[in-house]
Amino acid sequence: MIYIIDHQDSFTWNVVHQFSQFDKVHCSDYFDINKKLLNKSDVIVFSPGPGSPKDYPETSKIYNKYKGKKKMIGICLGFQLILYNEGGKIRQQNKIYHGYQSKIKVNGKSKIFKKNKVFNIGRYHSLKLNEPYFSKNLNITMRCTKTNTAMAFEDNLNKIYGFQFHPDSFLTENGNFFIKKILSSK
Amino acid sequence: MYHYVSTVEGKLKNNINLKNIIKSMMPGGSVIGCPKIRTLQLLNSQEKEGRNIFTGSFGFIKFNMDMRFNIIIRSILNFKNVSEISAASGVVLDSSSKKEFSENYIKAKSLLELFK
Repeated sequence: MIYIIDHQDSFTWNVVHQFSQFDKVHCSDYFDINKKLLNKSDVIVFSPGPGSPKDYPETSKIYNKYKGKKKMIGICLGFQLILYNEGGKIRQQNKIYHGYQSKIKVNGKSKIFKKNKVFNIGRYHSLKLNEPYFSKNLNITMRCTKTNTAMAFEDNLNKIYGFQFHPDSFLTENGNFFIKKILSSK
Repeated sequence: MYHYVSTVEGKLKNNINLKNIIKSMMPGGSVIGCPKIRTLQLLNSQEKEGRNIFTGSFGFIKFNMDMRFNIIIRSILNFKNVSEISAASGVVLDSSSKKEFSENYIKAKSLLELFK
């Protein structure tokens, strides 16, 4: 079962719909967690949402509690929230991307996606990861081909993954592919 | 001026009732923005006057539970000797204030002309 933690984003329902194609999904607001179900879940997904990671200390607590114990996936705000908990600094972008399609490229650090593969993806974010950023286990694996902004990461040791873009968006071509690959990775 | 029309279709889950539907549909995303709850909070802190019926809704529910509701725009609200007309437009990051103003003027114009 997949537990989706909703940060009250309108996109969350697209995320729920997308993940429901692969497994049973339970979704609840970040302030109204069903602890029993969360504990029983195989995968935890941190939804997109307004604001910045520091606005959601409850979700950070959940992340740190289950880190290394369950597979976790962050999308947009969820992506930033994981990086924030892993020592990353999240800052405002110079150019804000709301409803933009960009090209992203997979680099050699990915163990799940093919190196140099280019994808068309949909972006809806004001903030981004401040770089340079270094982490022992977590690697940035996809970047915007134009601005070099971090667009995906993998921590294959702890099974933690994130997408700055929206695999759930119609602007992302073949968005299900990303989710399928992450969910099936061992 | 452009009006965007989209048809959204779906199948209801078994445990959904009329109240659930209305609660999750209203207020309409097109008159609020996205993400809905956060933009509602921002609009409440920015808009100086209540919207009254504007961008609200009226419609009917039939005995067989079919229903039809609209979003109230291009409307005149008459109360005693006062008539109220509202016009508004959706603003995104790269909107131009001049163009938005003309859009609102065009929207209100046909109603305003009735009062000349």
